[in-house]
Amino acid sequence: MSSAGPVAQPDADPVTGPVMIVGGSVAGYTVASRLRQHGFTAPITLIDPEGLPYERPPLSKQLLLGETGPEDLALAGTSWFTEHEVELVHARVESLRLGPAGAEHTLTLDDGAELTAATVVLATGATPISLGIEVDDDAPSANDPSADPRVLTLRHRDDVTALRQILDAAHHTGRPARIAVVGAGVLGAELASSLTELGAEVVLFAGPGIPASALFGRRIAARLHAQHTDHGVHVFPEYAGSVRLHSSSNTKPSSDPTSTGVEVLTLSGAAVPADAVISAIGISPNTWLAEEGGLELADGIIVDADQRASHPDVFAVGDVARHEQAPRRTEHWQHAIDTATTAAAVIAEATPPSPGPEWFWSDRYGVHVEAIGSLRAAAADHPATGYTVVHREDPAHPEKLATFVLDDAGLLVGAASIDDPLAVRAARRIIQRGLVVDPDQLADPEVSYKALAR
Amino acid sequence: MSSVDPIRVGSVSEVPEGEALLVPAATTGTVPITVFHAEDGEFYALDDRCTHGAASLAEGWIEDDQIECPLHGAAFCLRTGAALTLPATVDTRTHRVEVDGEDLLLYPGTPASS
Ligand SMILES: Cc1cc2nc3c(=O)[nH]c(=O)nc-3n(C[C@H](O)[C@H](O)[C@H](O)COP(=O)(O)OP(=O)(O)OC[C@H]3O[C@@H](n4cnc5c(N)ncnc54)[C@H](O)[C@@H]3O)c2cc1C
Ligand code: FES
Repeated sequence: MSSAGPVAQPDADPVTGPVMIVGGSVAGYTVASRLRQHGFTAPITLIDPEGLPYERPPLSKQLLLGETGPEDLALAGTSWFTEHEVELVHARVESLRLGPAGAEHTLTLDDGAELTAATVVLATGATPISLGIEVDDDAPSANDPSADPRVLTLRHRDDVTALRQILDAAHHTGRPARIAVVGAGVLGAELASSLTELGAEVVLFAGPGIPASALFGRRIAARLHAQHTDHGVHVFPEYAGSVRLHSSSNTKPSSDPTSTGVEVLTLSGAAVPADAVISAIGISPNTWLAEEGGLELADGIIVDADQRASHPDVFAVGDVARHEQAPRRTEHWQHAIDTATTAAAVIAEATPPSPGPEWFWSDRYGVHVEAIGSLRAAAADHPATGYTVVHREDPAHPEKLATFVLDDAGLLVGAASIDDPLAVRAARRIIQRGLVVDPDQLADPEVSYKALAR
Repeated sequence: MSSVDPIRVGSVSEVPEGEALLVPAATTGTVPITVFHAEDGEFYALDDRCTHGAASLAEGWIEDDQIECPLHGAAFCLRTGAALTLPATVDTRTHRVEVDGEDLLLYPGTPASS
C-alpha cells in the first residue's frame, strides 16, 4: 500500500542491458511495469510457464465459488506487453548460470533456448507443502501418489479446476463431497468457507488452540475460528500427520463414508475418511534456481533492503524473497508489490519509496479481515510484556471488531480488524507517520479514524 | 447515458472534507455514484463500485486526490477515475459535480472533464 499512486517522473535512463524476470505473477509483472513507468528502456523479458500474469487471491474465494471467471483474474493482457515492449515467454527457466558482477548471465529454458541478461530478477514464488502419502498397493496412483487427483493443493488456476471436478463428481452421486482441509491458517480457513458455501461437507484439521492468533491477535482470531463451527464445518483440534489412499476412488458411489478412498491420519492415530484432501499447511519458496546460481538462501532468497540478492546483478521479490533482518519470510500480495516496486526503482536507478508495514487481507464467510504490522504481542489472552492491546467495538455495528497493539513508547506496531477496513487504513498512516495515539481514542467508536491518522 | 439535468444530491455541509456521499441508483437513475469531498476542498464523483470487486468506494479512504478501496486497497484518481494501483486494472468513470451555493449538483453519466 505504500506504493499507492503512480511512479510519477520518468528518471534518467541508466545504461543497462537486458532484464530477465523469472516468474510472471504479481511480483514479476510489477517489476516489469514499474521499470517501464520509470522510463527504463532496456529490453525486459518476463518468463513464466503459466503465461499472462493473473492474481491468486481470488483462487480460494471468487474463482472457486464461481463468482468470477479465470479471465477476470488477468493483471495484464497481451496488448499491455506489446505497448510496453515487454516480452512474455511461456516457459520454465531450467537453469541459471551467473557470471561475475557486470558480466553476462545465462538462463536456460525448458525448450532448450538460452537467454542472456545483465540483470536477473527472481520472482519464482512458492510451492505448497504436501502431506506425506501412504498408498495401498492397488490404489490407482500407487506409482506416483503425488499425482493422485484426490490429493490437492491450491496455488494455480488449474488447482481450482481440479477441486471443482471433485465437487462435481460427488454431486453426481447425489451426496455432498466430503473434503478434508488440512491447516486452518488464512488459506485453510478461506477454503473451508468457500467449500461449505458450495455445499461440501468439510473436515478442517486445525490443530489445537486458536489458529492465526499471532496474525490477527487472539480476540479476532477466536471470533474468526468460531465461524467454522457456526457454518457446519467439522473442526478437528488435531494436526494431520499423513494421508492414506485406497483403491476405491471417489468415482465409486457409496453412502458409506469409509469407502471414499482417502483417509487423513492424525498424529493421535485417528483415521478420518474423505473424498479428497487439500493441504493448506504452508508454502516453501521456489529457491532451486537461486541455489544453482550460488545465492545465499535461508528459507527464501536472502535480500537486502534494495531486494538485491547476494550477487549484485540479481534481485529477488515477492514470496521467494526474504529480507536479511526479517525473522521470517512474508507471503502476501502487498509484499509482492512493495518488494517489486523497490527492486524496479533500484534497477532503474530511481529512489525507491519507503515500504509500508506488512499488510494483508482475507475474506471468508462473508466477512473481510485485514491485518497490518505485527499482532504477535496480542497473540495470547494477555498482552506481551511492554505492550498495550486495545479493542474497538461499536455497539451500533456488532459485526465490527478492531484490535490495536501499542509498544511501551505508545507507538502503534500493529492493527487488525473484522469488517472495519478503515481501522487498518488509519493504522498504516499512524505507523508510517510515527504518530503517538491515545489508546482510549483508538478504542472509542465515536472517534473517527481519519482524525486519529492526521 | 449522459444526462443533461443535474440532480441535487445533498448540501455541502453534509459532506465534510475527507468524507463521501453515496448516491443510490434510485436517485442517479443509473448505477450508485459516490461524491467525494477531497482534502483540496473540491468535490469529485465516481461510480461507487470498485472496478476490482464488490466494494463500495464510499467506504474507502480519501487522501490527496485519491480514493483507496476498502477491500484490497486499489487506489483510483478522483479527478480522472484512473486505476492507479493493483489489484484494480480497469479505470472507473467520473461524473460531473457542481457546487451551487449550499447545493451539491450531480450530473450522472456526464464525465467530469466535459
Ligand atoms: C489461493 C491463494 C489465496 C491468496 N489470498 C491472499 C489474500 O487474500 N491476501 C493476500 O494478501 N495474499 C493472498 N495470497 C498470497 C499472494 O497471492 C502471494 O503472496 C502472491 O501471489 C506472491 O506473488 P509472487 O509473484 O511472489 O509469487 P507467485 O504468485 O507464487 O508466482 C510465482 C510465479 O513464478 C513462476 N515460476 C516459478 N518457477 C519458475 C521458473 N523456474 N521459471 C519460470 N517461472 C517460474 C510460477 O509459474 C508463478 O507464476 C493468496 C495466495 C493463494 C495461492
Ligand atoms: S474490490 Fe476494490 S480493490 Fe478489490
